[in-house]
Amino acid sequence: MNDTENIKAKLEAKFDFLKDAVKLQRDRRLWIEVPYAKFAEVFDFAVKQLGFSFLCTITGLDAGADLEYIYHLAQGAGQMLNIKTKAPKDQAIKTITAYFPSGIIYERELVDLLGTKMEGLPAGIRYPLPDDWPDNQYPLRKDWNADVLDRNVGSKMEGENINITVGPTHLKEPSDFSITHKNDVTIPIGPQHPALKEPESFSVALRGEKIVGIQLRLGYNHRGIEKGAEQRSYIQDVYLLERICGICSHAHSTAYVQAVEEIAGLKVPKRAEYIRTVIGELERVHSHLLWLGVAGHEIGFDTLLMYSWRDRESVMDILALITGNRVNYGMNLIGGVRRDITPEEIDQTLKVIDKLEEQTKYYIQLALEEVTLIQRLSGVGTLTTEDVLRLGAVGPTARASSVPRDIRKDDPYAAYGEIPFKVITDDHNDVYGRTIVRMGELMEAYGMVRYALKNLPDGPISVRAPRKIPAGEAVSRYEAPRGEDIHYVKSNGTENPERVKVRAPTLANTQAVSKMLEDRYLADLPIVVAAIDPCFSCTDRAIEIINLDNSEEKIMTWKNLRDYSVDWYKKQGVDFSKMSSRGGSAFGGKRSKFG
Amino acid sequence: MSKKPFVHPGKMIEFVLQSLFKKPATVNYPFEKMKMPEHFRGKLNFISEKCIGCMLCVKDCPARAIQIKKVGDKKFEAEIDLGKCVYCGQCVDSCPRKALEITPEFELAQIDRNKLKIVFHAPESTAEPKAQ
Repeated sequence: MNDTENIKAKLEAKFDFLKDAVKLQRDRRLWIEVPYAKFAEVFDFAVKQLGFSFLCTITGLDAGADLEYIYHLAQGAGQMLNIKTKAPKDQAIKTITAYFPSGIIYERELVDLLGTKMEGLPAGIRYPLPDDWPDNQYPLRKDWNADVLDRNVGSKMEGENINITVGPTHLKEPSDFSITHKNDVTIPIGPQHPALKEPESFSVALRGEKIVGIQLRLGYNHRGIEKGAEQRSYIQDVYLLERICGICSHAHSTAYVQAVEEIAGLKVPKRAEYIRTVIGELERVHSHLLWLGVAGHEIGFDTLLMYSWRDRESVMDILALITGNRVNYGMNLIGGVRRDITPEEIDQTLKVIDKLEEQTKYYIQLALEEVTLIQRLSGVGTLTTEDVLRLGAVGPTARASSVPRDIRKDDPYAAYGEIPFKVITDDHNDVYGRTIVRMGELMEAYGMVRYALKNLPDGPISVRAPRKIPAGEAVSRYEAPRGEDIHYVKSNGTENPERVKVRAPTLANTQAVSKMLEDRYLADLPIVVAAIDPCFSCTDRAIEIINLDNSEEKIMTWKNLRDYSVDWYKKQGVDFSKMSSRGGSAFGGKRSKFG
Repeated sequence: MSKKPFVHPGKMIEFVLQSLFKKPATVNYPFEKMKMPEHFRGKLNFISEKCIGCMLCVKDCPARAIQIKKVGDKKFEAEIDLGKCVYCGQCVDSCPRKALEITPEFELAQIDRNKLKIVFHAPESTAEPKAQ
């Protein structure tokens, strides 16, 4: 009896109603369905007795009169337990943040997108919808469609029955944001800021140079991809989901096709699995080299940026050679891959890998010996092993704190079960450790690409997939360069999926960022944020002004901001008020004013 | 940290000297153009003679960028919105008659949005007999 069957037996022994109701989908995948009245008991047992210590994500589904929730729990050794439960739409469900503090972001997502009533959810900033989003509009409900949106005025909707309460009041109070001292200053970093590569907003409360509180606002990149996926066919979704992120596009498309293949019961040819692995590892190489450059840049070491980005170009060229394009490779297909690798391409790739390995050895030497680099990165952004487990960090962020969490080893997919590699961990627990882990992973990735290309099996590269996928559901886990990427797909027997849920690695890691920055200096913020290699595009509008004198909070909507700017310019002697906000000839007839 | 200092002063000089005599990594665009990789997915081309009007490309396009219109007996014309196209090449894979193909053309920027919509007409010579 293997581990999965063991867990199944334990569950069946403990709960009578689960007798013969535990579904063993495959090795390491268990599904149970429990009535909501019994949910708390089963959940407690799974977490405390069965050792499911990591909450992957919570998926919410609209099931007619009810909302269905799936809690995806994981164990260290790759076992995954999916607990399904159902509650009527108007019934509140209890928060699970007592077990998993990291669950807060997934619960906020349910509140915003599905309209779940969450009991006990702490006050705080909403995620992922904008603050001027109208009340009672829940995008992921099946009866909702985007026609209520007026695209010309951002996210704002207009209509007779639509009310907008700016900022959902039940989430408004920033309770964990401790401003206690009268000399504390809050500075906004973002949504647009030179230190950030993508829009996200940090409100940082400072006492002198020290960070005493930090609030993170995400969702600026929310594009409604999950809703979009429901309205497209399985084939179209491969390309839609690939465009979640430009850096780890292969990660998202592979995770999605793997889930669909599992539902449809397709056996992917070995050669296709090897090619997926090769592209996946080349993607990791380019992502880690990109990260190394960004990290160098954030600490003022721009020479490193120049070096590593130069080297990254050679991987990009290889990816373009094999797949056709530098980003969004379009390599995956439900049932295999779209293009084969030719012997010439293999030769070229191996040559580039040899050269990159030489360069990476130099960077490793640099990281181990260069005093300024070590001193700048050591002890910065500390995250202990306990914090990783408590906050559910993934990828190199977790591995740099001695947590060997790596899906490629824990729950092998594609060809990872056959390719030898080591999981790189480090015990520095800081940004320096994360640098060492990524460098080590680069070396491992070279070895894996080499092994896979030398042992590339012969045979077809794809099998024919049906257009209609039989009803079913599957969760696919993928180790993206930044950490674990999860795709949940549910099919209903038609050409379009019923639900596609994506949990990108950055969302799991954002919880840890606030912890890393506690009691640190403001100057460390850019590198600490960069160290998780954030990708907010994967993870997901409002400006919040906190007036410290009376702690009055004011959120400016798009209209307020526009009025404010028109007023401000009026004071400077320029009148923009007649200008159309919808574009057109902005300076028409008013040129003389500037001439 | 009691590590000894990083002593490779020659390393950078080596790179500097190498770079001095290397030819620039950039290409003098637009006078010179880079050769696109073999599988590069650029602008689409539609071959009307081969189209059978099965609409699989329209159905599979993730960006809903293709429209196929019937203009006569077994004559089809395509309108492709390059502003919507995501250059994934799925339509080319879906087409059972190879009526769509990818070209390496990538200079597709336009100032006017409407010029991004390109129409591939059915050939005149074969369309005329039908009119008579």
